[in-house]
Amino acid sequence: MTRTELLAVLEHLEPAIAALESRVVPSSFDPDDPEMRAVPLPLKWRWVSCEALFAAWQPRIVMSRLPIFLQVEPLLYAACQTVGAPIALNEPQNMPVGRSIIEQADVDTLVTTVEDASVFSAHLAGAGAQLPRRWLLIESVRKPKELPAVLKRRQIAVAREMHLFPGVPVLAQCLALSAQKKSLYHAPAGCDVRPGAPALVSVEGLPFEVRELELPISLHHEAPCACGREMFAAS
Amino acid sequence: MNVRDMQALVERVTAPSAPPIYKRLYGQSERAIRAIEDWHALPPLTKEVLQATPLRERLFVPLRDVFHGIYVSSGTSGRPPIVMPRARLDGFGFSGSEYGRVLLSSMNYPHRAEHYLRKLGRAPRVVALDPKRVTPCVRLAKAAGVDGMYVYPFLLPEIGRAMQAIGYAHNITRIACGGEHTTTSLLTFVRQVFPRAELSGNYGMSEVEDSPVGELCHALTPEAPVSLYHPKEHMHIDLAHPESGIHLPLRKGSVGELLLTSAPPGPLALPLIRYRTGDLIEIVEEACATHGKLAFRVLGRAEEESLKIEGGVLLATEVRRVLRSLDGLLSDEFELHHREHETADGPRPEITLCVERRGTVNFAALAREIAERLRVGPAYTYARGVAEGRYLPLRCEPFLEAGGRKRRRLVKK
Repeated sequence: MTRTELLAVLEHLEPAIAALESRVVPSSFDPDDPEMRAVPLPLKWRWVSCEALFAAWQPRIVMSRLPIFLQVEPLLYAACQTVGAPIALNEPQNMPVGRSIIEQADVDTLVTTVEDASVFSAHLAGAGAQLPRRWLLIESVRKPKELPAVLKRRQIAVAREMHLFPGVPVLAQCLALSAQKKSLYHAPAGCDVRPGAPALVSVEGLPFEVRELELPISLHHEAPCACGREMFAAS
Repeated sequence: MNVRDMQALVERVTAPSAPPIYKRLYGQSERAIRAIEDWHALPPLTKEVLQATPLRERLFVPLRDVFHGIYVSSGTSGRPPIVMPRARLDGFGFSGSEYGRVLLSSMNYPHRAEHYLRKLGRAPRVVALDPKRVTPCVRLAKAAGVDGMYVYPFLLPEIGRAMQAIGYAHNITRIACGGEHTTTSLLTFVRQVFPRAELSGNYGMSEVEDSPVGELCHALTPEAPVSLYHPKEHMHIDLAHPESGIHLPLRKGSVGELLLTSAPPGPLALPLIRYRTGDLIEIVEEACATHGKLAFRVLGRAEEESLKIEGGVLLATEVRRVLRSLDGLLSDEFELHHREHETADGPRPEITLCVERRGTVNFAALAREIAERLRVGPAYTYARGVAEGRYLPLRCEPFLEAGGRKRRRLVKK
């Protein structure tokens, strides 16, 4: 299955979404994407990889700088609730307010996009402000970008996820990988990832079929992770 | 609240196990509330006190019980924002008919909108409206089958234009407005663009855990555009002179700053006692004809330091900064007048800046220069808003003599 075929499925499905008992997310992280479609997700959809990561991290307070447009705040809130961590929202455009929230509330965990992490971490470092100790970064499926130097500091853990659509991760990192900060990933629960060039993914639980979808990256097997799970290197 | 309730509340927030914020505010002496005068004599809780008090010294529940989330006052007054935890997820007492079946929501924290729909026994189908990305969110809303909206009034023109562009506006049957009062021109626009929509609203603020503060007395229409509110249950209001702080009676015609006490039953991150909201209100009815309840309207901000417009906020501090950057051409005294100008695409802000010149000034050129420098949001200037068709061109005029009255910095008309 190609991305073009997937978008065609979504386009065909869109008139029926209103009659489904579903939430919607955009098909793209880019609000200006001319190919953007509405993606229905079951109302019971959970961000399981985030919940698993939070179970390991046990965050105290989670701040999200994810654009509201991505429609994932309720999923992130549910993940925060599994560990009893309050959530704070900060508009990406308002970095000084974000810095103030981190300082006033002693935020220890930040969730944002890869692009924003680069900009915001530079803002915090430039202001001599404290950085949250843990960062969860999400992005669309693509060749991984280098982390900014600020986030490579040993005392900061960074977990990265690649999402097919916002809220639908297909590659995620565990506690051990968040410490290593390399382009190594697991397949989250509900995803069947087949390494190769290109890699293929099948996703369960969606109200439409995603089977052996070609991803715009290559994956190859690595030795099993310290957590015991199958691990892939992305390029 | 009666005096006994007030006494119990003060005892609660000054108990030995309570965090120190109110004990520090009231001093070490025991505060007995035996009469209403004792209540009025309590020092008000202010934004400055909140900003100066670390979170751990004003949190009345464990952090794990901050069930809803951590709000932030937007900092629109130009001061640092205040972090406000919320233990409560509830607050809205509407029947739910205001929301429709599928909701487009600019409510802070989309999970809150989902919570309310679940409480009403409905599927939690919400499309969150990103104020910076209205058009793509409206596209998602159409796909989701949105029929109701909970939005800030200043977003309605942009939402209306986006929905008209995709032929969807007539599908909206419910519009609930939160946070700001509406104008006749806006209501007229809403009626034209959303002909099937019933309009309702509430008055709330991010510092108030049990927000909203007030519920509308009657539905909003162009014929009856003034938003009249009743204090919500468990909200106690006092009125104070905005400068002297002297208590004012809740009599018809009284105008003063709203001091809010909000301490509903159940866990609260911070009970608010006589909190200086910064909002000027007028008591319109002591007992309205329909509900028999106190009714008030919101006149604006007591300090008049900010005005929300589409795309951002006009800050008095920002205007002052721009005036000072003009090499002494003007003083930094000003009065900014904001009107809504009716256009075919809905109301647009029209800003007139009255300034005090110190030499010869070409006001047309000055207005263009100021518009180029005046930031409405991060990386967004007033000039850009004009170029994008959001605002009418800025106008500058010389000050007329204030005639002895106090000059107001930001004036909404």
